[in-house]
Amino acid sequence: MDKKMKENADAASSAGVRQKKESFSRQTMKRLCKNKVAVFALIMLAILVLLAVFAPLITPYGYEEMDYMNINAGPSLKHWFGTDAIGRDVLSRLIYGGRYSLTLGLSASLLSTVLAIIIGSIAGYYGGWIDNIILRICDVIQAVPGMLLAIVLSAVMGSGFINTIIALAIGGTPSAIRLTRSMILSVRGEEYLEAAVSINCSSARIMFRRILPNILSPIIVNVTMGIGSIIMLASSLSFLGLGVQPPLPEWGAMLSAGRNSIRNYPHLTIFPGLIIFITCLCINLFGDGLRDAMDPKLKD
Amino acid sequence: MRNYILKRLVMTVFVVISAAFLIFTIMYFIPGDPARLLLGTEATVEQIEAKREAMGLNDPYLIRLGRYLYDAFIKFDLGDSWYTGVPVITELSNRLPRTVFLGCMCVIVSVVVALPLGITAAVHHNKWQDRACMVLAMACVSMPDFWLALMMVLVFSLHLGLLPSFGIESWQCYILPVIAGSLQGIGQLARQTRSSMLDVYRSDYVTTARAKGVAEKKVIYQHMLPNALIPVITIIGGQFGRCVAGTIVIEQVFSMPGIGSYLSTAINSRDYPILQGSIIVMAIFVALVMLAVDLVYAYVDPRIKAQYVAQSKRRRRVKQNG
Repeated sequence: MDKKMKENADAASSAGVRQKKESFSRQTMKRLCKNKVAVFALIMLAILVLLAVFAPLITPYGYEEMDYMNINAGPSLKHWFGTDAIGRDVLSRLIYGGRYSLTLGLSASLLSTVLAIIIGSIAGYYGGWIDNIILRICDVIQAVPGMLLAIVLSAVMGSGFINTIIALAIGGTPSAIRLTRSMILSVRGEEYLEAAVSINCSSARIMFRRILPNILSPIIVNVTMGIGSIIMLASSLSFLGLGVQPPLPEWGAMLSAGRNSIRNYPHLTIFPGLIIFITCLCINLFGDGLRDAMDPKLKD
Repeated sequence: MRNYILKRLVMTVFVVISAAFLIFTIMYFIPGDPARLLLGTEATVEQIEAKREAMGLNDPYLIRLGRYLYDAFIKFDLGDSWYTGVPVITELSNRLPRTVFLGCMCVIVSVVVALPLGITAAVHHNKWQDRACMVLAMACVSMPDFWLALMMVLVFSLHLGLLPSFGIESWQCYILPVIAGSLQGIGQLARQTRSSMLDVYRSDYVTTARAKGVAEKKVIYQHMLPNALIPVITIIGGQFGRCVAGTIVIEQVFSMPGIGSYLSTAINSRDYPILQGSIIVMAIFVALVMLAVDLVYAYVDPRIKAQYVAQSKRRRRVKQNG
């Protein structure tokens, strides 16, 4: 009897959550579709992602393929964006580079968010001394400006794709922890949590099935905006000679490689920078639109 | 008010020491043996062991940490460069003023440009001016600053020959770096100014002012702006940190002899005492700026003062009752 009641209650409440979530996401989609700028940004991003995913099918040349007849050639019909110092096609490298830069941004942003959700929920849910310790650790990490922390971490961990992701993710975690924690504190007194406690839900279940869906929207916006700033930070790191290293066609590394010959071959610097700019602009515009769509009250 | 200042001072000391602790701890795990790096591959095992002993590398972590913090905060000694042997603190004290100057100029320029942008956007809410300003701000936030710096060098120095592309000899040398460095700040400040202006737009005192028939200009600049600026001040403080950290890349592009270029040479030559020292000094500088900003904030915003006055009153009352 008791067990059945619990099952029923669980089913009812989880069905309620699901239903609410679906309608919420549909509302969000509807509002998002009305925002022309955000839709345009999303389409641009989708094109960039598709280009990166299907790079081998689309690019006319491989990213390490050298054309010795055309070294440092300017844009032409054969090489739309020209070639670099050892005759590699810049356009092909930029398209392949999307794989590295976009993956880097997305995975570092997701990694820091996942860490933040776990640590932030513990801090916000349990409170007390655990909360205090976690907040003080965040204080310590945030005492060092993000760019400097990323420099030190990637100097210590060495260059490389995975190491760069970890270095960039650590810098973004404390602010995401604070966000998660404050969101949890804002829903702590709600009735549905009291209900969940009264039907004897476990703490983990309350955290991940009851609280998380309700605080997800600011976190999603944070992830989206985070991708853009991480791509920028990653390209600054490569520019300083840390982070992802050549010959991998990461955009910042390409820019950095081209800057010494900027006087004679400016196309080596112009195009990688332009693509970083366009990507970050689209991500930020989409993130802005997403925030307005998820929380229309914030808009004005 | 005194309590507030005291609390902020204690917090700053905590932040500075913990930043030094964090940087030291991260650097402790750096792979490779500094002694071997310094002596080269030809050195014998005994030589390396002697060098390790001399550098104190054989001591346990806590002793090394304590010694580093003691040297850094009591003796103001951040160690010597491994390659040139010049004390890091000497080099930094020569370079710090240039970086701070560049950072301050960037912050000033971004405030001067961003406030009018944000105010225009808020006043013309949802009209084309609003959209134009916000697209501009978004473009500023999304543009890699070092790329803009390179593009400006390409156009203004290499093609038009109007401005120098490197050095610090004349004031013209600072034009391009300051524009590039203030870009991010302009974007963020303009967006924050707009949103906090819109926040106060619907408040009661603005409606009252309008109802009294106060001129629209006066409503905007005397009633709305001072209130809207309070959250903006915090962002300006954060901008200092960003700008000082951002100068690392900008100085690299324009070959300016500040902390940033010192740091990037150290990264390339793996000269870790320089890396460690520069970052700690930058973090201290940022912490001090944040302290100053918080104090200004408390001075400008009567609510913070009131909060502390109320607290001490309450405490006194509790004491009397108890």
